[in-house]
Amino acid sequence: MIYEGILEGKYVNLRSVEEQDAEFTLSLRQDPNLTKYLPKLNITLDQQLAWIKKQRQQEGDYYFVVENKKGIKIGVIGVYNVESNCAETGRIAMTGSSFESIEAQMLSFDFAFDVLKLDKTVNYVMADNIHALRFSQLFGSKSSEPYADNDGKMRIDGVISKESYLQSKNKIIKMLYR
Amino acid sequence: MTNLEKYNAAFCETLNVEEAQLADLKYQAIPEWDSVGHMSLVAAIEDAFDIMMETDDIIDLSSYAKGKEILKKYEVEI
Repeated sequence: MIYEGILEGKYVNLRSVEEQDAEFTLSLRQDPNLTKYLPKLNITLDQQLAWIKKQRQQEGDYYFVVENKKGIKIGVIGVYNVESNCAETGRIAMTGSSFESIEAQMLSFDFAFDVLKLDKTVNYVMADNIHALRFSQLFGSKSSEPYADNDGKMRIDGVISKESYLQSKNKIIKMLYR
Repeated sequence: MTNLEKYNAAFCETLNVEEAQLADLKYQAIPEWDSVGHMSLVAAIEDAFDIMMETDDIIDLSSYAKGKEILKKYEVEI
């Protein structure tokens, strides 16, 4: 699904992914350092292009390219599976600085809560993905106890309410905008 | 506490590392020093030395050693 606007921050902008981003998004998705905790993806550029075309039509599925203020693409981030008052957040792969990464995530939550008017977001991460867990906790995530999924892999589910996010956002803003 | 002790404590407590690991420690070399840990580390250093670092310096803080250089700018000798 396409969000026509630009989500503007001080360090980064988020815009809906376009077909011309296929090569970039595929390169991120195939970078072993960025996708250690994601399923292996062996697809061609044409297949990635087809995925983007489909994604842009998919109801309740938003996928953003993160650009720094020089217009250089530095990552991707998603808000998807929007149902009623809730959405899933994830599909994150970022190569920027700490300011850029944190602001990109903050802009995606602003989109979820302010633009889509959701009440909460959910995230599902591998229990040993410390980076993702710390990131979600920074934004006010309440995490489940680790549990084994159907494949025997340990996972942790997180929920971020709008209220919890707004409390966390105050601290994050102090860090980001000094 | 000396400045070195304060500086080391900021790293050890924030990033959960031992002093023996500090000399070669670099940003993103360990899971704890990610973008989130980086911000916590900056806050700890600022608290320890009662300073407010500029954005460019926070981004440049790419290693334990680099941090010592940056702090000179704030008149903190390690």
